[in-house]
Amino acid sequence: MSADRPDNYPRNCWFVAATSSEVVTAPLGRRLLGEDVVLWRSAGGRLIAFENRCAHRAFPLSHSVIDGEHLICGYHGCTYDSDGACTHIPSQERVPSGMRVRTFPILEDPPFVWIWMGSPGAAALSSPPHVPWIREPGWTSFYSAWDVAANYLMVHEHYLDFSYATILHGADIPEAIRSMPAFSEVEVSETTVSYTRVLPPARPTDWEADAGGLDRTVEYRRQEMGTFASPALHLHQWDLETPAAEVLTTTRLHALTPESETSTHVFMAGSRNYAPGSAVVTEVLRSFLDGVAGRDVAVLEAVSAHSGYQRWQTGVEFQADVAALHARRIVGVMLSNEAGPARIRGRRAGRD
Amino acid sequence: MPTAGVHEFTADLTVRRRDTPAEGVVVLDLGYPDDRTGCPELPRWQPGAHIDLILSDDLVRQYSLCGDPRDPTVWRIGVLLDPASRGGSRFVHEHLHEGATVTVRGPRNQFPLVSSAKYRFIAGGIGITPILTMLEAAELSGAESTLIYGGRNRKSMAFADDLLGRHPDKVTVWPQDERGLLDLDSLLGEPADDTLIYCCGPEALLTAVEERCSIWPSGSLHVERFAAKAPTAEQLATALEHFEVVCQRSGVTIEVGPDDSVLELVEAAGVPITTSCYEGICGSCRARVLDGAPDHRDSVLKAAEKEAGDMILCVSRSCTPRLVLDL
Repeated sequence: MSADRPDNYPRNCWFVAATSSEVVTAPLGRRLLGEDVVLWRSAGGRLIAFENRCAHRAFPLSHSVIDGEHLICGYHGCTYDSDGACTHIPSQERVPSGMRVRTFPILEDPPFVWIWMGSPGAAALSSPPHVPWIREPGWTSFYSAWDVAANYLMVHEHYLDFSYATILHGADIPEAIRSMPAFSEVEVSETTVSYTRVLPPARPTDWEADAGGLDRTVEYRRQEMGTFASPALHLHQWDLETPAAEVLTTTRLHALTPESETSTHVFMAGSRNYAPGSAVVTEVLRSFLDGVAGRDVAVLEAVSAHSGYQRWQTGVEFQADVAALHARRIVGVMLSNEAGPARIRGRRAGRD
Repeated sequence: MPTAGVHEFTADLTVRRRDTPAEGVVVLDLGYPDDRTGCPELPRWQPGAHIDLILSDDLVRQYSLCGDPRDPTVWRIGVLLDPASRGGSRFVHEHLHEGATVTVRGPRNQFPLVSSAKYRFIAGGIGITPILTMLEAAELSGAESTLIYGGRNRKSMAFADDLLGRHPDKVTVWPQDERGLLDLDSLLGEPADDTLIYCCGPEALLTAVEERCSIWPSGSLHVERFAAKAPTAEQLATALEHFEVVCQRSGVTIEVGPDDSVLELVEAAGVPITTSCYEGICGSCRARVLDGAPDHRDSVLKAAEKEAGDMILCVSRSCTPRLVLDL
């Protein structure tokens, strides 16, 4: 981290800015990657993202009125079109030439709204990562969102580890599994990392038995998988195999969006391929995952407040960190490519 | 305690489409078979990335991805039939027809497009493949860019017409039979702080560009090569036959002899590391050197990366009796 670029989030990456249902009629102000953004929906239904500052007196445009395809600032009434150009000022005839607010590329793919905070043109050569499960037939999903006062990479690395599960989430892991086994497999590519853990057969936990309608006396085989899909997306999968070889899959999708260097927006989708549409099962899973999220947040905020991401990052690494370290390296490469050439002062490149 | 093997994404893909855009060149679109329902997408890649084609146990070749990075269903590569082929390009040309299956691994990227205000792209022959997407990305980011594309003659130069059609004011096509050798001195011009040079092509072109760029600021030149560079006589003279490698994080120490590869011993010791080409060209087995002086034998690392302490384990050795790695 350098003085002129102190944060660690790539700009040339699609991040989730909000859920579709958050941006309905009123403009929504939100800090994303350290910048203040206002999201609004025109009468025609189009989603638009502006910098959340009027070009006149930097008033937050989240306190505006939407008028058809225009946004009218709640301070002096400056009217902006959907491209961010000011088209009308109540107190004078002419709009100062070039008066506009910065806009950001937006992609709405319900339930998520994705934003591109990097060089606007470069957005055209990239698309958000594939979001599995939530729209696939046979799957039932529910959603939640929270903020965590920790760096977004700390959140990613925490999720990609999960060796702490028997300690932090002991009641939600089968009692017979005393410690999480080593990864069975870690798979990397230029932009992704995923791991698989095969767990020893064990009787179900309460949440598994309640959600899956399982026999509490039977030992089930399980595997656990985690994926760093992009700096914006973590996926977690818990497969349980019944004696009839049916696989019950419970997943968590975490869209992680830096708010600042020390805080992260988390958009979660919990999905399953069993008990379709059952409100009772959804409640079981919601309550289980709320508990998990609460303990995750508590741990991350404790480390963040006490030591910060720098100290977290320089600790002794375990084998269980190999996936997280690969993710850190992927982000490191993205950041160094965005930062531009690393010049070595006073030296010249030569053939060597 | 068992340690998971870290491996790269590997899949059996089908040749969905095969084209012959120029003499001796085939373009393959690789994807999951059509009948496979609910198949996952292929991993995303950035301009400059390449994949391995695993044609048999001892025939692994690297090819740049040259399709649309937004399309996660297809990986596109261009393959020139090399008359001096060690088997890779001949296998591709003779066996990989539409509907054939091939094992692929990756992608990885040793040729990333580093952010810059200006770019000069130099491509020779089939070296155009990684440059196609890079030029597109540079244009979209608002950078100023030019491309010089050299080749034996027009009909051997894949994508030349398309490039001229899309970027008539940026692209110069330079067939050797019409214009002679590339005039690199005038093409490169004076060293500039705000310009990055990306070059991919045959060894003679890369060497010529490297020579001319020695007066450019460090980090200006990025090259991608598809054949390993031979070690120099100097390197062979300073290399140690026996040395010790310490993997700091894993607490493993290994003894390396004259015929050993550091990578193979590190792997055998159960230290998690990705491996692929074993020839020092793919960059999978990169590690950070904490102490000691490596004897770099690879064709991947740029001078600045070596300065920063990176090392490619499969081919590189040591000039000091002890090398400490961040592994």
